[in-house]
Amino acid sequence: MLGVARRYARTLPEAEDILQDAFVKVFTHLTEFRAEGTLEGWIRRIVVTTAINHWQSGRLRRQTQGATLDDIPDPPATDSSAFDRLNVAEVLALMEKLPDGCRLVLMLYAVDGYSHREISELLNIQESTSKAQLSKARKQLQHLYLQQNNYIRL
Amino acid sequence: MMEEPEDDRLDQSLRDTFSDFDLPPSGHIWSGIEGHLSAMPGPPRKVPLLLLLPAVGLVGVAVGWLLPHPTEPTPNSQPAVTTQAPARPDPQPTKELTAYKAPQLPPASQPIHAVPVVSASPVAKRVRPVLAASVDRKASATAIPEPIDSATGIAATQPVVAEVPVVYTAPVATEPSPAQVVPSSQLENSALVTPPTEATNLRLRDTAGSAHSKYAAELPKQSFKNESLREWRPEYRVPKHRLEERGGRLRRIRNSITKHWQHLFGPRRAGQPAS
Repeated sequence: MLGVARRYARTLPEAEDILQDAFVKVFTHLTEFRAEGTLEGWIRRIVVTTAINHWQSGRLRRQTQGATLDDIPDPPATDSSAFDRLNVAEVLALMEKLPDGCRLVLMLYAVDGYSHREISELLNIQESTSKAQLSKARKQLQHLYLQQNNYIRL
Repeated sequence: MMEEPEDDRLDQSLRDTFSDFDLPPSGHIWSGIEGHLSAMPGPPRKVPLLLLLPAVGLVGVAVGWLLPHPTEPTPNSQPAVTTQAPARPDPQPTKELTAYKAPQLPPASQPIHAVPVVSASPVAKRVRPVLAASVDRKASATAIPEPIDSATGIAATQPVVAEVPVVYTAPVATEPSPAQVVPSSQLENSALVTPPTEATNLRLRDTAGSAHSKYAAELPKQSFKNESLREWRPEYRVPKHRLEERGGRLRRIRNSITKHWQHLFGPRRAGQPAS
């Protein structure tokens, strides 16, 4: 579960704080578990929700620090299977360069399997916004990957 | 349209990358979780309603059971006579009953050989109601405080049953055995001295002859006095025709108020000022 928290956090201490708060919620609301799914899935959702709450609580602070990549032009076509050759640390390093909104939507949709409706409810945004954020996150991630490869080649 | 498979492939490669991603949490995370949980207040106890309702019912039944119940006197079980009549202090007849002494017989020329204490069967039949009456009297005497003798500290009137010997009501033997026969000379000091009934008095009268006529004349008076005390007590009948009106106190009050109201504001009184 710390890995799940780490994907949504920018640093490991922040992920540990998220995990700690998430498990406090798990133990206090353990009686509400209705056994409709697996306990792991229930705890995972709690961790994800706690991570989003953490992000929402510190959103204003991050908006001043985060770099805006809205004006990034569309990257040239890249092979998507190229990400298979990257390890977790490299992918995390690429994703940490994404804006928070794009990163969260990409994580929720691509990795954790949330739908755009669920994402819109979690992040209090429109479904269209969620779709736009996802598309932008993919492009930016490919652009960042190309930038990294070109820097390595040079 | 061509981007969708590319996007799916990107998502799948990200999913595969993070599928094996696992980080072991450090120890201080669990200590922090324990600290948070210990600082939180415990969950409120839920009141078990399914147990609470029967418990309340049981407590109610127990309280209702323990409350003092007013005993309603039934007319058949305990007539009013038994409670009223012995209330009067009448120490003299009880003294006669309790401290009965056989009168000294004058020395007769012909001694009486034997006086059967065990009475004959008709006498026993008559004595039994007397005993029953005495038992009733004992029961009533328990409810009424008796006067206590200041000198001895003993109740002046003792229960009559204690003084009535068992031999007096024993089954009748046809032929009195020598052990049961008590000579009349020992009657004075004997513990088995019993107040004679009319039958025994008659027998005494017959056996003693004219020399004991004075004694024989006294005995019926005393026995009649005792029986009159026990059997001829006045019995007051419980008025049953008023029983239906019991509990109608509110009704009577309401009727009286209605009568007064009609008397004050009825059509006659209301019509008087107009006329």
